[in-house]
Amino acid sequence: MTTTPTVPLAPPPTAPLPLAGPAPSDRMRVVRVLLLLELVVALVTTLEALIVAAVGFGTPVPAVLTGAVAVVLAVAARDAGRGTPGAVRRRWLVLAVQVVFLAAAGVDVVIAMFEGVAPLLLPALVRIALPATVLVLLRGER
Amino acid sequence: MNRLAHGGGHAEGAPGSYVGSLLYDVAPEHVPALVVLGLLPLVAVLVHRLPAALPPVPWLGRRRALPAERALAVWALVASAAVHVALVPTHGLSGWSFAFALDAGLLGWAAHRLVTGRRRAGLTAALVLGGSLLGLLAGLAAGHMPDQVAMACKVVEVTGLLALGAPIGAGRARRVLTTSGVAAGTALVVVGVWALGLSAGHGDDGDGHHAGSPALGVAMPAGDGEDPTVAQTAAAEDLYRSTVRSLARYADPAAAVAAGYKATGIRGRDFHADNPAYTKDDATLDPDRPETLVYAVRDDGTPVLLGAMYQAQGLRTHGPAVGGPLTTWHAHEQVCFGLLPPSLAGLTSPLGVCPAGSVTVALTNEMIHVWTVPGAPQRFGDLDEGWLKQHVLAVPAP
Repeated sequence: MTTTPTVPLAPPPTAPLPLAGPAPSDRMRVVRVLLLLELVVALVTTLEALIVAAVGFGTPVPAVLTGAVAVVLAVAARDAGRGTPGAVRRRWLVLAVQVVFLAAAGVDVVIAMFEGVAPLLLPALVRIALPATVLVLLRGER
Repeated sequence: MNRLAHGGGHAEGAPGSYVGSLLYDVAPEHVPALVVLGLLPLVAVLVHRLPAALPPVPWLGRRRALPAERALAVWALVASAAVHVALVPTHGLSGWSFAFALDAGLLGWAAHRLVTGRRRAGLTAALVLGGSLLGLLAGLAAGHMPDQVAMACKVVEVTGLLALGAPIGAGRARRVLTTSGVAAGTALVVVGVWALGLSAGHGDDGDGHHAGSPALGVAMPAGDGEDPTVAQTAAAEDLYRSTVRSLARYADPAAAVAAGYKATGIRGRDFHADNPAYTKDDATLDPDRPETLVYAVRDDGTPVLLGAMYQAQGLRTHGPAVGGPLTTWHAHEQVCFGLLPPSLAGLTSPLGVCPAGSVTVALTNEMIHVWTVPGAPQRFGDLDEGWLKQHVLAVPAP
């Protein structure tokens, strides 16, 4: 009787971890650029708020809050370029920031109307049209 | 020092209206560009959603085949070029028209290179967009304040730069460097706008291009610019002397605090201490009950009382200009008001936003400063900062 030599068991086949998902769509590519634009605006506004606080007007709280928004936007822009499950799960963060932007712009518009002053073009572009575009593009992405 | 800085002088405009900084307005000669800017999104929708409705232009077909970021950059270039073209006819035969036409030509050329896939088209487009963005600095150096249309155009150009410089396929270093570089360039432009905007009366160079504008954040009631009468001069003198007499008791901030002013924690060169009881009473321009005291901190750390600020009650209520053009009241516009805690948070950025956690107050009630510090070169309106530093702040407390 012959015995067959035992062959050590091979490790079970494992599927590669999904480190990278599918390439982002054109919509997500545009969303990412728009988030970068919001990030640049937040960075510059943080700088302005820091200077305002440094020269003795107001407190550093607005600078800290705007800096925090910039960090969130930086993370969101990074995630928008990835299709990984974690990035997709964090998409709610992008939605939340855009909704906050729109809500803040809504409050400003109400105050301006109450004071009888026409809302400005640039806030309408940066704080209404831009977040609304991001929301529409993300909605179409689902 | 320009008298338009912070009250004093007069601003031309419709009677009863306010004249603010051009940054928060649209210059009449920029209205065609505003219309173009408003129409472009509709054109974009037409190109993307209804391509069959358009004639079969090969250029458009090629543009649709571009990666998303490049397609966005082409739109930014086209938008900026269209805005610049729209500015040419309204600026007549001037250097401005030539500059706008040249910029429009370069932007259009860069867009064409991107669409037709020329070598180094991305780099060329980025250079043209960056040049157009930083070109605003030349206008600022010449004393011309941008308006809402100009700044909106710059935001579009920043979008194009980001699309070109940080596409998804690019390496991490390039993406970080591009975003940082664009942020730095944008910050440079914004700092330039602030520098010009906070020095009043910019653009008053007689070439008719956005001439004469109050300092950023200041809204002046429109006036006729007439000289003061003898009676108005006497009334202004009386107001000044009454205020000097009344404020003598508040030289020590502790006395002001005891009278209800929020004069604790004095810092900076322009500390405004309100008295809530006086801001809510019915008195206006009462030297015995000034709504606000203004303090500064000397170089040796001691506080010094500079004067008072009277406030009118209610929006668009004009303060009593007893001294006519000598005692011009002013309001503030586009003030960012922080909510956590309630405090001033600056003015609306040239990029159109206030810091997070603050709301935008589009217009405040009217106010007027009376400077009682001995030797002040101005009694009303704006106090000369150079004089303040040299003759008050640098001098040790007596």
